[in-house]
Order: sequence, then structure tokens, then C-alpha cells
Amino acid sequence: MKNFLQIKNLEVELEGKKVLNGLDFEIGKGEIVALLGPNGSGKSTLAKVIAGDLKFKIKAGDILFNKKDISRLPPEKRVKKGIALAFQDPPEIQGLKMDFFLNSMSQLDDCFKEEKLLKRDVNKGFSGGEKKISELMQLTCLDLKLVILDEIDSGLDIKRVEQVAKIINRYFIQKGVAVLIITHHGDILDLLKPNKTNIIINGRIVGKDEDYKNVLRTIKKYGYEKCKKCTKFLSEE
Amino acid sequence: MKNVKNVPNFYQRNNKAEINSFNGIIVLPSVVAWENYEWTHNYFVKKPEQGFFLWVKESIFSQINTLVEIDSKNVFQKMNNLIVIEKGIKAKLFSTCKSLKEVKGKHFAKAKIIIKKNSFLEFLQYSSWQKGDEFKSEYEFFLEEKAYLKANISNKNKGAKIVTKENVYLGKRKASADVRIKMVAEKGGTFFSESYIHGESNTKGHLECSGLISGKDSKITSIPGLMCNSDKAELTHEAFVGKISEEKLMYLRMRGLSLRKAEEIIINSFLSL
Repeated sequence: MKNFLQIKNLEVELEGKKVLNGLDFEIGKGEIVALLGPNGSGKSTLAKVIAGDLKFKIKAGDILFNKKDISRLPPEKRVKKGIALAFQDPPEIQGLKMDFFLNSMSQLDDCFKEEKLLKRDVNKGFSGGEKKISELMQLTCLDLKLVILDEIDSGLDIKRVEQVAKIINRYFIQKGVAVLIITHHGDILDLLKPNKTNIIINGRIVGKDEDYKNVLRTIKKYGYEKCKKCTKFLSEE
Repeated sequence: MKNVKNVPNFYQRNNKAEINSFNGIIVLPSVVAWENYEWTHNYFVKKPEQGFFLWVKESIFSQINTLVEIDSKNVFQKMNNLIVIEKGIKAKLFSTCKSLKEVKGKHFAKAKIIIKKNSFLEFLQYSSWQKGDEFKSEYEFFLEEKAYLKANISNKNKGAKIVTKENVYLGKRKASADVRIKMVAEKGGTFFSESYIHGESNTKGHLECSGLISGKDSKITSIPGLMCNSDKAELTHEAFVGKISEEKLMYLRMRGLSLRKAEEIIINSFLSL
């Protein structure tokens, strides 16, 4: 289904500085979409703007979700509509036990839960891998239609990446939940096999391809600089 | 060590008190302690009207609990408490005082806590006050040789006027204390909080004071102080007062929690003991 999430000509500012610059982007229902880009290109900003982070000011454009504009909705209402973000670097909340937190927000019985994290304070003293598992755990407890995974694989060894991919498959993809995956690495894309892969540079989508391998090949050969004018990615020779 | 149930050993609602004593601890209204034990006159300035006397003579496995509440209009509680932890004893005390609704209550509390040689006291206090309440407390902790105090004091203020003062005296060698004071001012609540650690030779103390403010008329004045009376004392402190983290609020809201619920969770987590 087209127009499940459709972003048109989005301009966003943070503290007076333009961070998304006329961005067009879309995700179909149940699609797996990858977003690649260099540091500071706007990947995490786009993720947070879709999820409703109020510190970003939308200056122009629309964010349509199921054909309705959600760009003025607070984050909790976006969650009710089925959109949630797994943070790249979530904050520690001392004194808040994970199991209490999950119960406070839980909408689903079929949640993924890693027992050893349940009695600990949310994200406090978590290793990089535990943070990623914690983020996924929280999202599996929500009734979602679109999950945004911001560098869910960063800093993980291949075993952990496989575990993360299994959770994403079991709790989101198999349930028809659309997945937007932001990453720097090919390993997780090999495991999730996105339907399309986008490149973002300077706050704009500059190219996309249905085969993520073509995109990775192009980046590997020419770097992101070449992608500023990408119309075609390298196919397998 | 003895194992006892988590029922309040001293319970007072408005101006009516109940005692639940058990072996190893003597729990009495302060006025009865004044009458029965002349040595308590060294600690009570004058004959007390209200309050509790806790004399811990054996190590207790479960925590000792005290609970003081106000739920009727214009109640004035004047507590004079004395807690004595005997030599070589390990004890945990959870002390709660709060108003249950908006009744313009007054709770003034003075307490002396004596921690004798080689003893350890974990002292937890939680208080919660509402609009129109007045809460004043003055706590003094006296630590003897090799005594150790771990204190966590959390005060929640939803529109009340609160004035607190803590003095921790590390009087003898190898006495040590770790004291953490947390306060939350909401809905125009005000705090004036002073906390001091006094260190003598070969003592160690750490004091941490932190506060969260929510609401435009809320105020927190926090004065942490270290009184170092020897070049062999080691005292440190940290202090922080600020608003609720926007990043944390946003994180919880991105899990579907309303702004109000997210604030409530962050405040309760901050105050958790």
C-alpha cells in the first residue's frame, strides 16, 4: 500500500538551524525500508521528527500517516496511531524499574522480555547491547504499525546483530509491521532484506534503490560524496 | 538477627498514636520514654508532647517502620523523636510522614538519632506534603566510633511550605556517613533545606543534595555544608537542582505515556529509595 507513511517537502529546524531541507520520503504498509547516510546527514533527525520529538520545529511540509497529517500530534498520540522509535542512545532513568515501565505502557501480552533486564533501572549501567535489547523490548510491548530503529545494530557483534534481527522478524515483520531501519552496516540488511534503501545527505533524500546491495556497493566504491547526485546505483557485475 | 513483619512499629494518624513493639526493640511514645528512662533527658530538650522513642538493642533482619499521617483539617503534629542504635547493631529504619489529602496540616519534627560504636543504620525517609501543608524537620545524627550511617531522605512537595535541616556529626574516629537528600517541588511548593556533615579526625562523609522543580511558582533553596574540623577528615558533597529532563520526558512520551503520567513517573523514580 502506498502512502502508508508519506512525507512531502519537509523542512525542519532545530534551534534556528535547518536540519531537514525539503525532504520527500515514503514507506508502504508492512515494508522494510533502510535509511543510510553519513554522520550529521539527518537520519536520526528524520526518525525523531516522525516519532514526534517536539524540540524539532516543522517549518514546511506534511507527514501523512494513513493519509492523515500527524505533523502536529504529540508523541504519545503518534504511539496510539502505531508509530514508535527505538532510540540510538536512550536516556538512563534512575529509580524506574524496567518491569514497572513496561507495565505502565504495555498494550500487548505477547512482548519480548529479557528477564535479566526487568529488575534493573531503565538503561542505567546498560551495555551497548543491553540498550538495544531494552529498546526492542519496549517496542514489542506496543501495538505498532511502524517501528523506527535508529542504529539498532551499532556497536553490536554479529551474534547480537543476529539476535536483534530475530526479534525484529518475530515481533514486527511477521506481524506486518512496517520497519524503518537506520544503519551504517550491511550485516543487518543482509538479515532483514529491506524492500528499498534510501540515502539521505544534508537533510534530503538523494537516492533510493530496491536492492540494498546496489546502494552498499555504490557507497563502498565512491563514498557518500558521489551519492549527492545519485540517480542510479551500481548493479552486480 | 530477628525477622519481623513490615508493619509500622510506630503509627500515628493525626494526633492518635499506636505502638507495635517486638523483641529486640523498645518502641514507646517519647513522653513515656522521658518518664521511664532518665538518661533520655540528655537528648530531649524538654518533656516531649508527641513523637516516638526507638531503642534498638538487637540486630533486626527486616526494616523498622514508622508511619505518621495527616488526613483531617488543621492538625498540628509536634514530633520529638529519639532513636538509639546500640553498640554493634545493624538496623534499617523506614520512616514515612505525609498528608493524605489537602487539609492544611502542620508537621513539625525534631529527631535525634544516636548510632553507637560499630553500629550501622540504614535510614530511609519519605515524606509527601500537599497544598497548604507546613512541614518542618530538624534531624541530628550522632555517630560514635566506627559507626556507619547510610541515609536516603526523599521529600515530595505538591504545594506545601517545607523547611528541613539535617546535621550529621561524625564525632569519633572511623565514623562514616553517606547522606542523600532528594526533594521535588511541584505546584508552587517551596523548600528551604540545609544539610551539614561535621567531620572530626579520621572520619569520612559524603553528602548529596538534589532537587527537581516543576511549576512556575515552585522554589528550592538547598544549602549543603561540610564542617571539617580536622585535616584527617574526608568530606565531600554534590548538589543539583533543576527541572525535569526534557529528554527523559520525551522518551517516556514516545512510549505512549501522557505528559502528566511521564512527569509522575520521573518524579517518583527520582524520589525512589
